[in-house]
Amino acid sequence: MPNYYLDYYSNLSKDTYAIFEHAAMAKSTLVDSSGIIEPKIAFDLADRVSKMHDIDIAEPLRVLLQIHGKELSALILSKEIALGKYSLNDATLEEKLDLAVRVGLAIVTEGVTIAPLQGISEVKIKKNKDGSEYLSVSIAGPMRSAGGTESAVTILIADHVRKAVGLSKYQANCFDDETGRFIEELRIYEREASSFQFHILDEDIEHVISHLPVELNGVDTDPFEVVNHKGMTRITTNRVRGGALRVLNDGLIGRSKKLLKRIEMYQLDGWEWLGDLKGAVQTGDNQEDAAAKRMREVITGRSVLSMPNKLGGFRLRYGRACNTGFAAVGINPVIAEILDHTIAVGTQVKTDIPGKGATVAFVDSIDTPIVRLKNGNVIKIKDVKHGIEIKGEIEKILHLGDILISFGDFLENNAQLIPSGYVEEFWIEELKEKLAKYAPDDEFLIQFLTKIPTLDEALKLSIDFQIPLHPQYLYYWDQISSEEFLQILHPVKINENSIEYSIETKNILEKLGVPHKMNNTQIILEKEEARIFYNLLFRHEPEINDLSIPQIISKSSGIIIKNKFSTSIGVRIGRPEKAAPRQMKPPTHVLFPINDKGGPTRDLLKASRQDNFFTNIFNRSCQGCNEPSIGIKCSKCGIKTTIVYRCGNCRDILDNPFCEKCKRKASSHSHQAFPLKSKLLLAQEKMGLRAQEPFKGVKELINQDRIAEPLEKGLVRQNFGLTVFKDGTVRFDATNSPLTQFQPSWIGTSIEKLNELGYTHDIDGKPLTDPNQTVELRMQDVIIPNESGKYLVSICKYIDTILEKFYEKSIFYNVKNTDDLIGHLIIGLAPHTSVGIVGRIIGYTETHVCFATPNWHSAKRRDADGDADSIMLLMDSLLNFSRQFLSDRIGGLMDAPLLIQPLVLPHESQPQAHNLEVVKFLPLEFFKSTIQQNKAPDVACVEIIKSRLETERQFFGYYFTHSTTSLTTSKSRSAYSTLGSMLDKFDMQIKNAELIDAVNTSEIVSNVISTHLVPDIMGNLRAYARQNFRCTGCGKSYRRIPLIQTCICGHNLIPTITRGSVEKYLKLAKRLVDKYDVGAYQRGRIHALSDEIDLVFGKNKGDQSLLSDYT
Amino acid sequence: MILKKELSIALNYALNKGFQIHPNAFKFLENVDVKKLEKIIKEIVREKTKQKSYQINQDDLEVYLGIKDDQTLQNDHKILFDPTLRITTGEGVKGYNALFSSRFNKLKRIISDRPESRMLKSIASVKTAKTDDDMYVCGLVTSRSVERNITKLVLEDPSGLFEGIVFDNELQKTAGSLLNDQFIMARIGFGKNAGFIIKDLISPDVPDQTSNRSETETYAVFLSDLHIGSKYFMEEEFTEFVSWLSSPDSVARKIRFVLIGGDLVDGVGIYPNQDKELVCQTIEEQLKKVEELISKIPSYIKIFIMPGNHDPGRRALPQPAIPKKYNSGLWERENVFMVGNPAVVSLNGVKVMMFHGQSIDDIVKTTPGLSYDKPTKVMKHLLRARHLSPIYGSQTPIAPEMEDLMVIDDIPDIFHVGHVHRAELDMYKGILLLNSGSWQKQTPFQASVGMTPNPGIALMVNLKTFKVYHENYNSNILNNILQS
Repeated sequence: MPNYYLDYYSNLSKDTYAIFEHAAMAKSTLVDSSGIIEPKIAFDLADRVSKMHDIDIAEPLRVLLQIHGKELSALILSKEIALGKYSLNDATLEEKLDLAVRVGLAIVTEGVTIAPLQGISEVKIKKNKDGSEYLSVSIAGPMRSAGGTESAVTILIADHVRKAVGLSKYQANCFDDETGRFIEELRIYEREASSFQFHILDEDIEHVISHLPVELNGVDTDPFEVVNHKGMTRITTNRVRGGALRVLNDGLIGRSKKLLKRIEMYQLDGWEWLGDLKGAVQTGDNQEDAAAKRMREVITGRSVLSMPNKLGGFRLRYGRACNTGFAAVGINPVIAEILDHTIAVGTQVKTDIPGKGATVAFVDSIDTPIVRLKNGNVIKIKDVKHGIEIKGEIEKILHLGDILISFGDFLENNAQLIPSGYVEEFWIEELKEKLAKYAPDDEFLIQFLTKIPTLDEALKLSIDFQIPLHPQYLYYWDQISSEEFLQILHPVKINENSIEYSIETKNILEKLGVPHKMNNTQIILEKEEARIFYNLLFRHEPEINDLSIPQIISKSSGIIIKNKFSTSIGVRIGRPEKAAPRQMKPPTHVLFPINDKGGPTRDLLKASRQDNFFTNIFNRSCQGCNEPSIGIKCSKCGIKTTIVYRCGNCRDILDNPFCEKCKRKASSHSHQAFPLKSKLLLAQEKMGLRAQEPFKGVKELINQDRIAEPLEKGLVRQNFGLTVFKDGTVRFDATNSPLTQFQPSWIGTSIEKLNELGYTHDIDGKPLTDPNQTVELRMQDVIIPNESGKYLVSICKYIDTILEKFYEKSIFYNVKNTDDLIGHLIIGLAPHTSVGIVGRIIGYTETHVCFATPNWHSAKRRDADGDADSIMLLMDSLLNFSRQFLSDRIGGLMDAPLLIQPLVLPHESQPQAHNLEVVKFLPLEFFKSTIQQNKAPDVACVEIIKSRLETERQFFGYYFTHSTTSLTTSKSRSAYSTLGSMLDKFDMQIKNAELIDAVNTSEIVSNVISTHLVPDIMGNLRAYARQNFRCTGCGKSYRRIPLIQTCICGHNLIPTITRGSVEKYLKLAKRLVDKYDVGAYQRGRIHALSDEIDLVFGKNKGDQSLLSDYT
Repeated sequence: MILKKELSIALNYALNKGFQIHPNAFKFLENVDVKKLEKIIKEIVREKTKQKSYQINQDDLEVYLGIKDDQTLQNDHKILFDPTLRITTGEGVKGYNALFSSRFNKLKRIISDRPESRMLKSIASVKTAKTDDDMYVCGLVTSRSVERNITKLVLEDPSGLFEGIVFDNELQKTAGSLLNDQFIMARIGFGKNAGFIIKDLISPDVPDQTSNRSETETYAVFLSDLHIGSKYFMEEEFTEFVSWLSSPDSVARKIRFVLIGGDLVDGVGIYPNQDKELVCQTIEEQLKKVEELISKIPSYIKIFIMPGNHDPGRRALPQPAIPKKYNSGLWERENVFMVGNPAVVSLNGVKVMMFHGQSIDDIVKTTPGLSYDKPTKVMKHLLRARHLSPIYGSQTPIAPEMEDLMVIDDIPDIFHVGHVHRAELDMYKGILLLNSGSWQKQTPFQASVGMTPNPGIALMVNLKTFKVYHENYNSNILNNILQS
């Protein structure tokens, strides 16, 4: 580790502990509802696993991990646990096995996800019909957070410990048709509930279930019932069991090949049958279909920018800029400007290659679009400024320019490389090769490694050194037919400085991407274009034959012409970027229950005006003042409070939660009188703040003990415009985006401040003095949205206020503005995990994304495929988070900072972060491999982090191949998130489709009709005739209208679905099917729906012709 | 000569059986297609043997070949109920208020035939009643829940809500099979802790009865779920069946009615990505194909066509007939009668209630012990509840009509349902229950949920004897539940 990193890490640890101590001091005052800091600090995987499961295995696990790696360690350790090594003597075998499976899974999932805690519902020993005992693992919904392979490994671990303790195998179908149940259930789940990553075959399900040595069971997750396989002996629910199905589909079957590899590697017996599976099948007939299908899933209002395999779409460009890679793709910022900000930084896009989702980042060093203006002229846009100038004149975007995709993303998706077009980098590598071979010191040639040659120079280079023509002067010669080429060879006139063509060739010239001017019906090529054409086509007459057009031109002109086009990447917009405070629905200031007494806004003030305010709350009370208390110490008199329990059976009051008499648990909460008014007054007085209406609480608490938050916290939050999340923290969500280098000018932080933070040199080792130098971003430093910065400043003020006035300790932050916040620690937390990763704020951008290193995002178990994670102040999570607020129901612990990880080490990241390329140049060998269409994992010539893991350079020196001068465009938010109605969004989508040549508008319209309009109309029409009714007075909802015809409260009932909501999109749909060619089926559907609406509601305005059709 | 040879083989067959052949018949036979000759003779011999008449004359042949209609067979029909023109459509609150009041009132009238009903009290009045005697209330089931071996029922009448508990094990089974929103009468008493105990549950049900019969042995064919236009429609088999209708088969000769219980076509946009499973992409094309197939049915056979959930029109119950605008040809055929869903037709005096069967989905889902394999069990539920689609708010849309047209007012002699693609027969209190199966092979969707249809079986009922015959066009004989 380099020295500056030692300092960096020790500072992070030191700061973390300083905050920890300050928080601990505050907590020790016992004025809060919990007296300790609840998130535990865990440094590494072993630490996390042992703290999450309260089992003392950190040391032995560390030792194992060093020798064996994650999975084998998990197997070894779980076996030891099963055999009782770490359990108390009175632990039952079932308990040991339960712990063994959970810890095993925790190790495999690196102790970050909550799958081991809540993804496994129970592990039980059960009996087969013949009386033999076997192991059953019940899976719950949150298993999803583990990922496919890991969830399947759970079953391997379960089998491993089953064997270790000598239990028999599970015998499927010995009571009922369990294989059939799984098949039925899985198909119902796919149809009704949710989708899986893969599609699998029935025969595979049957094969797996009948061979599994342990029972795969589960708890129900969705309200959908099976029809044919109900009331089974061993399956206690008739509903679908999403967790178990996911393990089966995406795990055991979908990843069977991966699993087999592991099974062989660890020499596990009894799993050979996995090899007989067909595994994941593509849903279509072939792979191309699956990708095309992904592109077809067009969502209303979310534009399609480029369709696959279409000239004019985004051209694939290999490489990485400082803000791409790790599932972020680079697009020229001009695109955002000319498409009215359809996309912004962080907008999620779905691409067909290399697959999955990605976020948009802007890179301005890649090829710009070529457009046709309203006057017929075709131009190539020079830069962002030029783009903004001519935006209003654009009639059609003929070529979208490049999309920059990193090699690492191909690697991660195990994808086949696609031949690269002849791009600048490719040319430079060829030049380098020539230099190395023939003229290592040729100054004339060397200059072109860093400088684009002029046309004359380029031609000279090509002719003298047999170097292909520089891409700057290339057109898409490879994309026209020989007939079209023949037309190009016959211009109307060749002048001294221009070439004239007839209007018939316009389409061909546009395909080629040749800028030209229109003069009435004449097309004129001027300047450079004319000279290129002259030199390539008219000096020597090309001879048309079977060769490709570039080859024909190369032969006749003596200048090597390479293919400029590669392939076009299908790009459609997924989710919009997100940066917003995380709010509960409805937003809440304080976690305090008031039922319906606060009205629809859940206003505590309104509730407090009631004479007898009762609420269901924890039985904590002050004996001295004889009133309920929220804090451990009474806020009135300061003495320690007591808790009482009441047995639900004998109604005795107890001082512990177990009734000896009735042998049952006693309840810790009750419906009781609570002096809300006086408590509120006291709190307001103490904080020196007045609550404003509405001061929002919750309807009821979701945690087991009904523990509420101190009202003081809510008062301060309201004062600073903050709301609370269900776990007591205040959060800000932002889309993840990777960043490996930055320029001080991008993030608004002064050089002095950066120096203080340890940024002293730029990437070339020069001292940092200028805001335009490029600096490498440190492992845990984050650059957050401006809005988020302002929000965090408010959180600092809130924390300081409660420290001072509630806990009565010294303040901590004293932060007045976002500048003061620089250098402070936050934690990042991904929704399905429970480990907060410490990060340090070093600057802000006018975007909606949180920029951080791939390693940091990866520590949260995320990549940049468009998801948003939360940011919270480290101090906030320590002071205000309490596990006691969370529901003990399944999934309740998700998205909560149970553990805090202070340091991020590259070698502990997930493999995806290791697949990031860190080179300055993609080597010639790489470009050649793309032509060969090798699989990305077979290409070894590009250096990735993985190859550096054992070295010091795993921490620094991550290079990029493409530079950019800015991270953003003139707008930080995409149009999707700023446009109001769905119709506006849809209008934009159509406008974009008509503007972009590579997008077929009819196809988009047809897709929107079938994915949005028809389901909406049909859904509402169906729902109309089975709708609920709602009371206008109390809001009570009725499944069916009651025979008394009013609500029990006496008010009138209203329908939830009206003709208006059914017909909302009908007019639009009818207009679309008439205007665009969407096919007879689609048109028929819309007209049939329209007729049906008339038959349900009667025709509008007395027009009864349809009904009278019957006579 | 080959012709002669074929003819002589056929004639020898008849002669060997002791038949005489009239010379006119002999002449007539020379003009008959040789391929059919042997079959025709065998059929005639079989029929005539039964009649103990051993001469084959020209008349016999003409009748069997459909050249001459058997005038002695009665073929009267009357459409007793068709919702098509009775649909008035209320909207929203007003409509549903009217619908459920109508349901309650109609069923209360039906149950008033029972002696207990004289003791019926309104729900509001039993709550304040001061008596130790049992009382009777009736209402629509609002909810049913089971907790710790006790079933709780909530009933509702226009005066309010009634909540009662069922303790008795046998009665709990009855309570467990009650459908939401169905009408029920309950005998109740006060419990120990002020609540009500339900002591008996009385469904409106149908009384035992003797059914109406046709005077002649006229046959009616019951079909449904053709799904014409779908890739999986068994066109070949169906065409074969249609040509059988004009064959000399003794049963075929007596068929005068064909009833089609919905899902005539596969429709468009009924389920996602349906276009990939269609051979005809539009409703018009699909119905054109229907017309083509139906035109091959002899014109003396009357055809009744009812819509199902795949047919155009509207899906909410009750459904009007398939609108004329999609295919006027069908509407204009003289032997075709387009009716709505549900419908009641009288065939030679035999009352046939036709219902496509959409509500089966909801009932199977919520009622223990029911499955798609046994649709007639569900049909019994419907008869007991005297309602074709009791459950509101689940999958089956129910339109806010001013009158509840789904109440079973008249008791039918035959109850004809389709929808689930399982041909099955049963009897309930003298009513012949019949699910007419389908003419669509198992679809990928059905395979994925484990539904095994038995398509390609045509059910036929002798309207005089109520004996059921069938013709099986399914090559997979195992699928034929009628033989088991």
